[in-house]
Order: sequence, then C-alpha cells, then structure tokens
Amino acid sequence: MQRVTERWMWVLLPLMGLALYMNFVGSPDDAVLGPSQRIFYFHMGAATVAAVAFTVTAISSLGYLVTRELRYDLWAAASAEVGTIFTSMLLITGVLWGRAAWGVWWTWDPRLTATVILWVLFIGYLMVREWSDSRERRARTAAVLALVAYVDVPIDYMTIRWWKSIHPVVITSHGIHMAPAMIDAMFVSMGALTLVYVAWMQIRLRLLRAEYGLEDVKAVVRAQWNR
Amino acid sequence: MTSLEKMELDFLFLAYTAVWIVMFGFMYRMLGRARKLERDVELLRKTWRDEPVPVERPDSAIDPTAAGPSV
Repeated sequence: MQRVTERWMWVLLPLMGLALYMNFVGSPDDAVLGPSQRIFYFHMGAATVAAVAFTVTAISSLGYLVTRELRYDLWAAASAEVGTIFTSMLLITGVLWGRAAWGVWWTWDPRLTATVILWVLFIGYLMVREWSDSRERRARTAAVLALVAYVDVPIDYMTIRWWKSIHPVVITSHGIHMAPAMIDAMFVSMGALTLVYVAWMQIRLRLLRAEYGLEDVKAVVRAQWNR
Repeated sequence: MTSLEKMELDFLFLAYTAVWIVMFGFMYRMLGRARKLERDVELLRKTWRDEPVPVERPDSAIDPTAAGPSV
C-alpha cells in the first residue's frame, strides 16, 4: 500500500507540467491586465487548497475534541502546516497581481486583511503546537485554537460579497466571468495543487507518525531507565 | 505584447517552474526522511525486543564512567 502511495506521487510531475502549459501557453492574455492575468491561476489554486486544508484542520480538531484520539490531532497538524504554506503562496501571488492590476503592492482591503489575519492565526497555531511536550495538552490547546482560527475562513470568503472590496469576484451565482480557455487553465491549476496537497498530507502524516513512534520508543527506554 | 511584458512573462514562468520543482523536491526529501525514521523506529523496537537493555541503573556516584543503556 505504501509503495502505491509513493508511486502515484510521480503522476504529479506531468500534471504540474500540464498546469504550467495551460497557464502560460494554453490560455490567452487578459484584454485589460495583459499577461499578468497568468498570476491568477496559481493564486486561485493556492486559495482553494488553503481553504480545503484549514477545513480539514477544523474537522480533525473537532474530531479530536469529541473522541480524544491522537490521530485526529496528527491530521489537524499536518493539514494546518500545508494550509499555512499555501496561504503564504496565496499572499505572495496576490501581492504580485495587486502590483500589476492596482499599481500598489498592498492595500488594506477587507479580503487582503482577512487573509493576512488567517495566515497569522495559523502561524500562531503552529507555534503553540511547539510549546507543549505533553501530547494531550498540545492536542487539546491546538484543537481549540484551530476552531477559533477557522472562523476567519468563511469570513475571508465572504468579504468580497459583504463589504466594498476592490478584489475581483470571479465566481458568482451567475457563473464564472472568464474566457473558457482561462476557466480550463484555472481548474487544471486547482486540480494539480489539490493533488499536491493530498500527496503532501500523506507524506507529512507518515513523517509525524514515525516521529511519534520514535518518541514512544524513547519513552519506554526512559521508563526502564528510571525504574 | 511588448518586449518588457514578454520578459516579465518569462520570469513568471521560470518562477512558477522553480516553485513546482522546489515543492516536489521538498516532498521527495520529506518522504526519504519518513522512510528513514520508520526504519530506525522498527530497528529500535526489534533491538529492544531481542535484547532488553539492563534495567539496573549504574550508580554514577560510585562509578562516574558507568556506561549508560545502549539501544
């Protein structure tokens, strides 16, 4: 089973190549923004993965608080790490796109502000995880913090609908406001990055389980030694 | 497309390609580390089962050079 999960990772390479091809060759320039439109595809994919990752963190945290099983805590931790990395990518691509589209690197727009708050909250979550040596205490504190931080995810999504924002709204109830080739490129990017998330999660969970296994062996040796 | 826009687009393409490669390389390294740790943990568990470490605690006050437990 492990070999299968290791091998399917190689599917990512051609898929990443296809996403790059679609982003840079297979889609046209935007009529207003020109080639800078191409920043958007990666930006959208990163946003999707960040939202999925933090949702997995929140559900796993809730699962831990209900069942007190540590495997849920591992899921929450791994997903929060990947989500934070993708939020960083989201912010970097957003800053680059903002410079091209709005002429400024940064503005305290509701969407941008909510995203930065989300990023800071989950960096805080990851830091809090490092503070405690007790697995149970760490898992409990982190689970509560993750649920509090997750409140910002739907707020972040709705900022451009609730408040006046200069951030574009691409997907509305009337459809997706883009050329078909651009929509294809966007979905291929989203698909490729989502698979990167799945692969990353599998590997990170494996590493976390191995680290916990090592801690268990150390604890047994320590207990024998102190007896 | 102006030559400046073309150059910016080339840079963006290189940057995206670099990010993909770094991301994949990072995952590959993480996988290698996970495999190594899994092997180490299994080896430690096997060693622990086959040869239990001495449970007597060496008295360092009497013998400061007393060897610690070997796993």
